[in-house]
Amino acid sequence: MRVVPRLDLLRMLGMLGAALLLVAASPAALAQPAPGKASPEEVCKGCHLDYFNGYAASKHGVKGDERTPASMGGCLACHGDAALEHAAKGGGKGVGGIFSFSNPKVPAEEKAKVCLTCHQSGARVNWQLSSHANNDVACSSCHSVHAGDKDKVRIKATQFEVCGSCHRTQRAQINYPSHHPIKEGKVVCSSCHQPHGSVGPNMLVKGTVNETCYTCHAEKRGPFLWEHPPVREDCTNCHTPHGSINTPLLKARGPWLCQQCHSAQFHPSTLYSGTGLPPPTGNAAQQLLARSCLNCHTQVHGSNHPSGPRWTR
Amino acid sequence: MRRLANNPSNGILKRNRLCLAVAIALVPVASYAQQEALVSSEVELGAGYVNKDAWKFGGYNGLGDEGAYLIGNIELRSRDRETARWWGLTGTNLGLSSRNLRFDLGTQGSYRLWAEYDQLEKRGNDTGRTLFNGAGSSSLTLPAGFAGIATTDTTQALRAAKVDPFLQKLDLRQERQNYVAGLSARLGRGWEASANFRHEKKDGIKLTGGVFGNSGGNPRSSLIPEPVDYETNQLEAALAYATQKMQFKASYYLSLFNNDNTSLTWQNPYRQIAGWTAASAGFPTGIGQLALPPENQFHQLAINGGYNPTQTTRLGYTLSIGRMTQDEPFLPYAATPGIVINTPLPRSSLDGQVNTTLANLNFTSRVLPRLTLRGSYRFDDRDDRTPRAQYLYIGADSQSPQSGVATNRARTNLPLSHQQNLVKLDADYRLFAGTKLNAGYDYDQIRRELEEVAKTKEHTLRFGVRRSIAENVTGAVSYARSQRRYDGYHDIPFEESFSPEYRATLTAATAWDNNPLMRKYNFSDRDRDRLKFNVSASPQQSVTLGLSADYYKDQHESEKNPLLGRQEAKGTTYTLDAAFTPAEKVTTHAYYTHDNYKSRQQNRSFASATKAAAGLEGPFAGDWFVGVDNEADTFGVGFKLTGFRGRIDFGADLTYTTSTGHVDPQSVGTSTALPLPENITRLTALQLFAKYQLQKNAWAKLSLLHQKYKESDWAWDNVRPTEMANVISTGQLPPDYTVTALGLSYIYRFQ
Repeated sequence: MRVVPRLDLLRMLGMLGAALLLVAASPAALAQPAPGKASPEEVCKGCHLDYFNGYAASKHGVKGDERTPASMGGCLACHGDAALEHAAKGGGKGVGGIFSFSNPKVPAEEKAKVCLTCHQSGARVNWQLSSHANNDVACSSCHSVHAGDKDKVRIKATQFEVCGSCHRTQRAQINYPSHHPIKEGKVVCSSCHQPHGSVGPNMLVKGTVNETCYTCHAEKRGPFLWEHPPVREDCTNCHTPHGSINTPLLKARGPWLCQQCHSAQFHPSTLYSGTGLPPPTGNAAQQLLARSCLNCHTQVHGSNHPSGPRWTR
Repeated sequence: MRRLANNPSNGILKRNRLCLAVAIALVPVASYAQQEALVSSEVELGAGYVNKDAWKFGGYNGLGDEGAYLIGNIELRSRDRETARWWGLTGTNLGLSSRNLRFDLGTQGSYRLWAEYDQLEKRGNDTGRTLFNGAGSSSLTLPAGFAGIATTDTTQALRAAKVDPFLQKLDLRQERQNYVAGLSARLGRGWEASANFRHEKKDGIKLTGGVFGNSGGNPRSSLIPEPVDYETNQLEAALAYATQKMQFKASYYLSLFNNDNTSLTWQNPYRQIAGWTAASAGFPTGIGQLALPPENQFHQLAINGGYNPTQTTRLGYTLSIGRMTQDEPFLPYAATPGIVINTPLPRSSLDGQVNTTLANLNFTSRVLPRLTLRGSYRFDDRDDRTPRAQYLYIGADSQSPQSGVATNRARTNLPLSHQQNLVKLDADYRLFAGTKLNAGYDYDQIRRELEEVAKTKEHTLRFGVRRSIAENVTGAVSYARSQRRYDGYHDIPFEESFSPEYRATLTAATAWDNNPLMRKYNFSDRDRDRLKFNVSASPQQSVTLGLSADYYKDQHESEKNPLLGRQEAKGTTYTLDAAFTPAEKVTTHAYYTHDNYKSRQQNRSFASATKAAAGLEGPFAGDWFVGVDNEADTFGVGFKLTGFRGRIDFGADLTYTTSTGHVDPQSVGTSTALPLPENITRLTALQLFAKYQLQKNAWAKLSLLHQKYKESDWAWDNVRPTEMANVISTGQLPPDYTVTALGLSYIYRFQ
C-alpha cells in the first residue's frame, strides 16, 4: 500500500471543505468558476500551456457551445477528474491516474469511448463497425485535438500524411504513373472513404463501390441499353483506385485484361505478343497498340446506342 | 453535466474532485487572452516560375505550362470562445487551375453555412495530333483536300502521305469546376438538419475511338477527340436526432447528370471497302455516330442509426432505397446517309430504371470483460427493371439493314440485377494486457440475373493476433482463407441476348459466342489466401521503426480442362519505415515500399472453322498463356527543421518511384508468340521549402518542386499516326520531362 506523505495528507484534508463544495457545485459553476477562482483549464494550463492553447483555439475550447468540453469541465471532461490529482501531485507521466490518450496501455476502445460520449452521432454512428475500431485504432491515433484548427487529418493538404502513415501501400501507390489526384491534394482519402465506419465495403462513403465512384463519375451510372456486366457490378473488377502502372488505373493492360473474360472467334481470342509491335519487329496490330481493344470497342462502360451491343457505338 | 472520461463504464477512471482545490491553490492563474491561439490568419502572396511545358507534370497541379504563375493562399479565421461565433475563409492555389476557395460562417452549436469553389484541371497528353476539325465539338469533319485512305494504301508511307499533311495538334485536357453550398442547424432537443448542394461543370476533350466496320476483318478506326461537357448536380439533405443512447438520421440524396452532347459524329476517313455492305459507308459520305453518356438521375432515401441498449453493447442499422433512371431518346441505328432502316427501333428510349436497396444490421457487444463479439448482416439489391426489347443493329455505320431476326445482329438487351447477402461474425478476446486474439467468419452470397453464374457463395475464415510485445513494440499478424464457388456456369448472355432464330442456325457444337471453357474471374471458383503482418517499434523515444507486409494469392479453379481466363493472381507488398527525431525541432523520415502483382491467364485462339473444336475440353492447337508481372518500388526520404537560428524553417522530401510492367505471352500451340519489351517508368520528385522569419508575423518563403520523369510504353512508342493499317492513331509520345517550379512568396500572419 502506498504511503501518502503526511504533509500532502494534511494539505489535502485541509482543502477538503473547499473540495466538497466544488463537488456539490452545479456543472455551470464548475465550468465557470466564481471570480477569483481558477478553472480546471487554468490549472492544467500551468504546465501544459501548448496543449491548452491548442485546445482553447479549437472547437472544443468554445465556451459558448454547451456541448463542448469547455462547457463541461474543461480538460477534466476528457482527461477525467484524476487530472486534478495528477496536478496535485506535481504532474508527471501517468501520475495521479489522469486519463491519457497517448498512453499505449489504455485500450483504444476506452479512448474512443470518451470521444463517442459526444461524437457517436453523425459520421461516427457506425464507428464500432469500422475496421479502425476493430484494429485498435483510437480517435487520437489520427486526430490532434490540441492543435487548434490545425488537426492534420482534417486538412485536405495534410490528410494523406496521417492516413499514409498506416496505409503504406497506398502511400506508395499515389506516386504511380496513373493515380487519382491525391498527392496533389485535390482528392483526399475521405473523398471516398468514411474513416469512422460505414456500411459500405472498405469503409466507403456510399453503400457500394459503384455508388461511391458515381459521385464523381456520374456519366458512367447509366442504366445503359447495353450494359457491360463487370462494370455494372463493381468498378474494381478492372480498376484499382489508389494508383496503377497501367493507365487509366487499370489492374492489367489491354488486350489481356479483356481476354481474361473474352474468348470469341477470331481477334478476341487471338494471342497478342511482340508480333503486333511496330515494324520491323511486328505488324503493328490494331488490337495491341495505342488503346488496344478500345481503339474500336470504346464504350466499355456501357452504350446507349441501339447499334451498340458490341460497345463500338 | 456529462462527463466524458468519467463515464461510469470507464473502470480506469474513478477519481473524485478532492484535489481540485489543491490544484487551484498551487497553479498560477494566467489569462487566456494573453495566449497565442492556433487559430491563425495568414495570407501568402508570391510568384513562381515553371521552366518547361510538361503535361504530365501538370497532370493535376496546374503547373503544366512554362511560365510565371501567381502564388496565392489565404487562411482567415475567427472564433469567439465566448459567443461561439466563427467564420473562416480559406483559399489554396488561387493562382493556379487547381484552386480552391471556401467560406464558412456560423455559431458553433447553433448553425453553420458554407460555400466553396473548387477547380481541377486534368491535363492529358498534348503531344498527339488529329486529322479532324472541330475537336471539342460534337461534330468532327475532315479537312478540305483530304482524299481518304484507300485499300491500296497498304504501307505506312502511303497512308502517311494521305494523312500527315492534315494533322493538327490535339490537346487533351478536362476541367472540373465545383460550386458547393450548404447549411446545417441544430434544431434543439437533439435534432439537427443539414443540406449540401454541389454543382459541377466538367468540360474538355478526351480521346476515344471511332470505328467503321462490323467484324474483326474490316474495321477502320480513328482515335478521335470526344467532347466532355457535363453537368452534375448533387443534393444531400438530412435530418438527424441524437442522444447518448441512440442516434438516428434520415437522409435524401439526389444526383442529376446532364450531358450537353448526346452524340459525337465524325466523317469516315477511309474509302469504301468490300466488307462494308452499306455502299455509302466510306469516305466521303460515311458518317459515324457514337452515343455519349446519357442524362440520368439517382434518388436515394436512407435511414441509419445506432442504439446502445447497455454500456457494452451497440446496435446499428441502415436502410436505403434508391432509384436510377435514364430515358434519353435513342439515336438512330445508323447515321451514315443511305442506310435506310427497314425495321424501326422497338422503343424510342430506354426507360431504364434500376431500384436499389441496401439494408445493414450490426451489433458489437462486450459479452465478457475480455470477450467482444461483433456481427453484421448486409443485404444489397440491384433490381434492374429496364424493359427488354430486340434491336436489329447496324454494325458501326457500315452495314445494310437486316431483314429478319435469324441473324447475330438481332440482339436483346440484358438488364443486370444482382443481390448480395453478406454475414460477418467476429470474436475478439483480450488474452492479457496488450494482446488481442481475433477470429472471424464471413458468408457472402451473390445472386445475379442474365449472367453466366446465377449464384456464388464465398466462405471466409479469419484469424489474427495483435500484441504489444513491450511498451514500445507492437505487432499484428492476420490470416484469412476464402473459398468461392458458383452453382452452375451457363452461357445465359448468349441464350438471352441472341435470337432463338439465330441460335437455331448453329450446330450444337458452335451454339455459343464466348468460349464455353471460359470462367470469368469476377465469379469463377476461387481460393484466396491472405496474410498480413506489421510490427512497429520505438527502441528510443526519438526513433520509430516499422515493417509491414501484405500477401495474397488467388487460385481460380474450374471443372473445365483447361480453364480459360484468369488462373492465378498474387500480390505482395512490403514496407520498411523509419522516423527519427534527433531534436525537438527536427524530424526525419524514410520509407521503402515494394509492390508486386503477378497473374497468369490462359486462352485459346480460334477461327470459325475451328470454333467447334475450340469449345471442347483438352489440349487445343491455339492454346496460349500470358503471365503478367507488375512491379513498383517507391523510396521516400524527408526532413523538416523548424526554428533554425530562431528564424528559419526548412525541409525537403525526395521520392523515387520506379515501375516495371512485364507481359510474357507464351504459345503452346500454333500461335506465334514474340516477347514484349518491358514498360518502365522512373519518377524522381524533390520538394524543398525554406521559410525565413522577417518579422514577428511575417515570413519569406522559397519553395521548389523538381521532377524528373521518363516512361517507355510499347503501346505508343514508335507508333506513328498511320503505323497501324486500320487505325489512325494520334502518334502521341510517352512523357519524358525534367521540370522545375520555383516560387518565392511573402507570408503575413494577422495576430
